[in-house]
Amino acid sequence: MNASTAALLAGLVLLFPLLGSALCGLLGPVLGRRFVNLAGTLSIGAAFAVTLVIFAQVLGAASGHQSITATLWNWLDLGPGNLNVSVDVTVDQLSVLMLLVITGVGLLIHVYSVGYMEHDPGVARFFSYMNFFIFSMALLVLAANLVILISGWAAVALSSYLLIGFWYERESAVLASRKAMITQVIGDVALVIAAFLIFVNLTKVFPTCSPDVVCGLPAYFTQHLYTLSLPQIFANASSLGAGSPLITLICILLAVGAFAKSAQFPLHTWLPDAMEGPTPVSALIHAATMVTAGVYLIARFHALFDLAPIASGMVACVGMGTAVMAGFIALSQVDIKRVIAYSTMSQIGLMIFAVGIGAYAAGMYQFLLHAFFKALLFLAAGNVIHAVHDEQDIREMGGLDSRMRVTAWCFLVGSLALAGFLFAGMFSKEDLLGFGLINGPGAPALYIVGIVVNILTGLYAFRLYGTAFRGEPRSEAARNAHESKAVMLWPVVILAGLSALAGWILQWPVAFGPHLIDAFLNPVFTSPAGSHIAKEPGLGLGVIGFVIGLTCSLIGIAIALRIWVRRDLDPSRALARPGLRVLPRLSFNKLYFDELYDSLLVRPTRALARGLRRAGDPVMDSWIKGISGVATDFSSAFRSVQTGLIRDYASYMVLFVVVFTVAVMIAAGMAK
Amino acid sequence: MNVLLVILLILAAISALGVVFSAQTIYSALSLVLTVGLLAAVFLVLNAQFLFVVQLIVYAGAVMVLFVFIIALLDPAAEDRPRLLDLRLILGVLAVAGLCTAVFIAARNDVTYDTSCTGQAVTCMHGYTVGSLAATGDTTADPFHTFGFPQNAVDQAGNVQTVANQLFHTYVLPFEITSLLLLVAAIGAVYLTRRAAVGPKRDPQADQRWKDDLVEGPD
Amino acid sequence: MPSQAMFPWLLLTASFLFTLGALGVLIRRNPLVVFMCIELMLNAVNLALVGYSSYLNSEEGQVFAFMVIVVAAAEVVVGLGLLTRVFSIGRELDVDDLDEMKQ
Repeated sequence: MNASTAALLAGLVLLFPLLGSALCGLLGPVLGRRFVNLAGTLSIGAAFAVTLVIFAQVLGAASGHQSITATLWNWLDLGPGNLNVSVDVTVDQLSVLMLLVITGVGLLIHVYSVGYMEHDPGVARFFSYMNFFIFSMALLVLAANLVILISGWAAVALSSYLLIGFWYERESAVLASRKAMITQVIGDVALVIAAFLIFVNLTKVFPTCSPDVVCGLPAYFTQHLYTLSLPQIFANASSLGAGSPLITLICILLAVGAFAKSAQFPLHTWLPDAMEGPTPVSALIHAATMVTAGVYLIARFHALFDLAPIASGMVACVGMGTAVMAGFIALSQVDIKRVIAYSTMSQIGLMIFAVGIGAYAAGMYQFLLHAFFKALLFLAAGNVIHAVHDEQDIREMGGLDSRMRVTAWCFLVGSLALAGFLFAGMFSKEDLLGFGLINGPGAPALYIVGIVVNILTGLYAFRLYGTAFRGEPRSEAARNAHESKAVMLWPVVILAGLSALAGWILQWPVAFGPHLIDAFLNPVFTSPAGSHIAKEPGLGLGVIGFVIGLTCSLIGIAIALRIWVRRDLDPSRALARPGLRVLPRLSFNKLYFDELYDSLLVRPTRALARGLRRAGDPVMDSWIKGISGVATDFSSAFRSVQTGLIRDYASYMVLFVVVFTVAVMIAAGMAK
Repeated sequence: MNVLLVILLILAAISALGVVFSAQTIYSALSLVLTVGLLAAVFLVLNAQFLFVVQLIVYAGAVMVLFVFIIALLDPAAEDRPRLLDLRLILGVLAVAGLCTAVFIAARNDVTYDTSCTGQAVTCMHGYTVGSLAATGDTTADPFHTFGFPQNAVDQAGNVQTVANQLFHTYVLPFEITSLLLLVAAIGAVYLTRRAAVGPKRDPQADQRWKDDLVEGPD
Repeated sequence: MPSQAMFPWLLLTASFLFTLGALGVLIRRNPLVVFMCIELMLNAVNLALVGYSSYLNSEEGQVFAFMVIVVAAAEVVVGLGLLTRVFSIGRELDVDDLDEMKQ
């Protein structure tokens, strides 16, 4: 595949969703629901088809030539030696993997949305926003230029804001979208600062110095070139020296940006609230793609992170910490979408952990499989919500397994995949946890936390399944629930199939150890400077790690089954003991983060604003009144000249004519 | 010639005094007619025959007639004694006296902006002495025809023709525009005086008395 | 043709008439008289123009004077129309009373 093919294909992948977005947005209200459904879904279908073509090209390319950077067009050119930004795309394994998920899972979700939004009047707006999201996410993962990356990053945040607040008449939705936007902007600030630092330090193409070419200071300044192209940046990265404070700072800032986007501690509070958006939005944005943008960022910038072990270590700790925190909170949530949201937070924590310790391929593997089963869980939840007439409290559900058989089975598959037994999660999670045995700060420590996460995951996943689907219906709506229509079932079924089989297929050649994704992605993470990939645990250690991890998942599942499915175990008495009583409350209140941020950040800001207004308004007003007062007084003074009498005006005229004439005559040198 | 000119100028000045200082409005108007006529005579003496005729026909014959009519119509017996101790009067007198003096001195000093010409006996402008031009009739040194035709050409062709030549060649645009101006003024005047021509009847009996006079003749 | 030496006196008379007219504008109260003084000023300017035209042997002064006469005629028409209007609505013809332009 050469550069022009890559440019063409990438351009098409970007163009189709953008076109779909424009068509749905502009013509949708005019041409009606069927047009919008068709246009919105076909555009993503077309993008997916092109992605498959790219995928085939990348697979078929000779090794070492699989990564192509092509330029779509030159956006900004301020002359030689100055800023030059062109819309560059990188088509390599990493971006094509992301694109497959974005467009593929995106396509399934769009199809599902046709059914889910069928009674909603704003369907044109919905598909327009969704298509725009696909476009911005594609832009983000294809970007090979720092400016384009940031543009895609920001466009993704915008889409998220628009989609979370889709039902804008609801105050809770508006507040949630605002919260999401503000939190993400904090990350954006960090990202942009990192970009500035990179621009200043890493984008110079250094002139080659030789005995003939003197690299004195003037020559340096006239000869260097600024380029924002990511491959160039990565190539220059080693010039900064491993572990230097500058590169650590850059990586920390990048990581903060990633945390905001991926809802990691401490910028995680927006994700549960983001469930105010329609369920397909949650599935697409807050499960499969946008929240994984942070993972992608760190993976893409691996060349920088490998040189800053402190930053990577921090990333790994934050990731694992968030994973366990989110798992803990998910245990007590009662809104079906919130449980899944915290589950997302937790799983992404694992991904972040993986890329933090250098196991990039493992992290991306988890991303791929997680996209499948998380989207599955969300869409199935959407089916459930639809069936019980928009009731989202799981305490009002129950007994749905007999009434919604297909959805229930798919949900079970998804739960097993999430918990990591038999299906997808088993492979990806154990893989990345295995790396944790020998990589990362304080080597097995994070692994141990990881297996605790496994327990928690099994627990909350099956708590959810048991409470929502098993047992007796606890409300009228649950009793009358029925299965969803085909258009909402097929994507769920397909995703269930993918969740079930993907892990097995990708692991096919070898039972343990490297899998196809590894082989696929590793060339991206290897550079001539040396491999940046985390050390693989040896076969024996790997097997042990796998078994321990799996056992913990099973423990979690088993406990959950006993408590919530078979109902022959009740931990409430155990938890009622004085020391432990605080735990459920902590968990239910999301560890009080929202309240903490509110009192630390929101209230002081509001108080400051109020105080400034009270103190500052009179001062500002007095300035303005003063200025206007001066002008008014001045003009009243002059007004006295305007008597309205012609004779006065004539007098002034004559007077000034005389003065003027005399002055001219004197100036011209007449005797006077 | 000179004596005639001086007499005319002095008479014009005296009648101008009459315009400004007459107590009755109608006397001012009549003084102005006299002034305009005298000035027309001056124009004739200065070899501007065309303007002499135009001044008499337009100024004296139309503009001043209009003035007299309006005065007669509006308030024939109006008296307007100028208040001589008005502050404005004093200011005005000082100002105009100054202006007058300034202009006269400038004229006496051969006003030009080309200081190389000062002090010469003959009036000059732009460095050319008019006298020599008039004598030689050589206009090549005067590409913009600032001085028009030499004297003998004027004598040959006559003043009206030369003025017309300028008017319809060099100044045809201003000419057309002033005709437009007249049109606009006429329209404006018609518009302004559309409704009531003359004011409310101040004396309801006057009309009747006038009609009676017509029928019966004045007593 | 008068001699060249008369030229300053022409200018003097013109300036005298002009300043008389200006004086009249300033001290008379009847707007009609004010108008007539303005006409006097215009005539003074015409005199100056024709004087220059005569002594510089250029017809342009006369052409300009012609334009001035035309403009004066137009102005008189409009001005007298206005004054008539003022009178017809019952106002006094006194410039000190007609001060609606006062701020």
